[in-house]
Amino acid sequence: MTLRLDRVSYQVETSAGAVEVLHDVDLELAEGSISAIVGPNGSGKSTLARLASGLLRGSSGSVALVDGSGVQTSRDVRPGLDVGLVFQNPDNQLVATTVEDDIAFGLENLCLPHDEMVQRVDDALDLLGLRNFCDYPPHRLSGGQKQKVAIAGVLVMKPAFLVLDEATSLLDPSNRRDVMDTVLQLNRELGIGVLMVTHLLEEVMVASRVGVLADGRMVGWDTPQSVFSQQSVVEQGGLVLPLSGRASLLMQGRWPEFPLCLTAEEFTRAACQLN
Amino acid sequence: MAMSRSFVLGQHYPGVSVIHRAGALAKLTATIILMVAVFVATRTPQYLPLALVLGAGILLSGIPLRFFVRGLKPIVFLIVLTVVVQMFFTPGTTLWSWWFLRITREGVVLALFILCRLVLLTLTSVLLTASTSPIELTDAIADFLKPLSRVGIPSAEIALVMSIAMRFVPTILEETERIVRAQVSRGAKIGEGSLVARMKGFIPILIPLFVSSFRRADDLAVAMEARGFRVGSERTRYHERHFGSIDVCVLVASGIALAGVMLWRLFL
Repeated sequence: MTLRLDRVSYQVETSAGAVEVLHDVDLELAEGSISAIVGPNGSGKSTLARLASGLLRGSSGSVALVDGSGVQTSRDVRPGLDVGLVFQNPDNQLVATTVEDDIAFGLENLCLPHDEMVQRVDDALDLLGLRNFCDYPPHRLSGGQKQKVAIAGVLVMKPAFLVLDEATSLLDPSNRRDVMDTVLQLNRELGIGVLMVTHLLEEVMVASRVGVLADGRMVGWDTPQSVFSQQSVVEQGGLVLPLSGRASLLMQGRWPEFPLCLTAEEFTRAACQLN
Repeated sequence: MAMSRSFVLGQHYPGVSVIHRAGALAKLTATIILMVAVFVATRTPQYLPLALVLGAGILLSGIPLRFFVRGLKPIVFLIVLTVVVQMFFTPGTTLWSWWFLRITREGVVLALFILCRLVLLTLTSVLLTASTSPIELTDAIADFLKPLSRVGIPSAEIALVMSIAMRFVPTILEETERIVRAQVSRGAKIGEGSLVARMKGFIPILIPLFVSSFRRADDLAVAMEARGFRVGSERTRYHERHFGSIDVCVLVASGIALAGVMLWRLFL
């Protein structure tokens, strides 16, 4: 199963006329993969996240799930069921008065039988380590815990893909790491595909593919190494490389063969291999 | 947080007592029956059967009495005002007078009656909300309103709106406190000066509060849609409802209280 965005554009009507927020965006997310979208504010990242999750329909182009096995078939994305979307502010996406009830909200919308709901909520509580908080009201949780509840509420609907729309940007570093570890665990154990929309390049490093959006256009879509090696893409996307990346560029001035390293570990390894 | 803790009415006090285990629909129905009984009574002694049933409910709930006393705090001003007005302005046999002030026997009797009425109404509500979780309560309200859906009233949506409102009360209170602190730190004078100045002082709090609440509502609507919610669509419920022997007891007890009040009024 692949989530495919094919030449998707999106326009909004304003008093000054139609404004194109996204222009001819192509994207292909393989099942079980981790991808990321980066770009400056107003580049269309959140609109892309909503289009990918089926919440918005593009002005042109198509967003579909493509079954690659045997005869190729495609169908429209169903929000929640095919693609789960987790938003930036956990406070604004939790609906119910307790953790357990909030996780069950999506299942109630699916009209699932009671026993199945209980089973799925139990599984999600255990998987995300929320068992001890199941009867807590959301306002008594930390930011990271709230975001985990939001992820659990999406996860119980068993989507094939999870889209995180700047889901860690309001969290402190410790909570951010906790949520990211959870997302990676879900990807590893459940094979759920992940699309991270983010400002934080540190998070991008775990992705196999990175897209750079600038003014509603996808100016780069490749591996992190390849994308961040292209100076024009980095500039168009208004990106600031992580410290190890900037240090790598400095090293390349002296040793042209020095690779672009995006993590401290990679940089240390490359530096140790220098003659 | 401090603001949210000071309101007992509407707060849930978790527990495993027989009252906590009773169904929310039965408790809501019993509460309505008890409230009818409160208004059926015409004299203070007629409240005795009602007070006994309510007292038994409070004891069986295992909720500390101080919780109920705290529940009365928000209406102390209303009680005092009503009692004073009744005592001093009800015509009748004078018990005590000074200058233009006059306390009458009828005034004292009426003040006592209204005092009992307000206290019983509040305690009944506190017992319901303290022993029932908000989600159970909103489900019960949805069940209670369900017959109205036949005439086009969206009972399920009304219940969901109530549930969401309850979910966001602490969040909005925290936000209010944050805005107050932010405005005070920038020199805003809140709660100072004349009545008009104090009312004006609230404008810098209310405007950002409204703006952020509308933004929250917008975000929440999208988040609900992302989780498959559609207005008017069928939904199942995570919490199953059972009508058990405890529910029968709760309803019978409230029925006895109402019958007691009515019989006392008719025959004694």
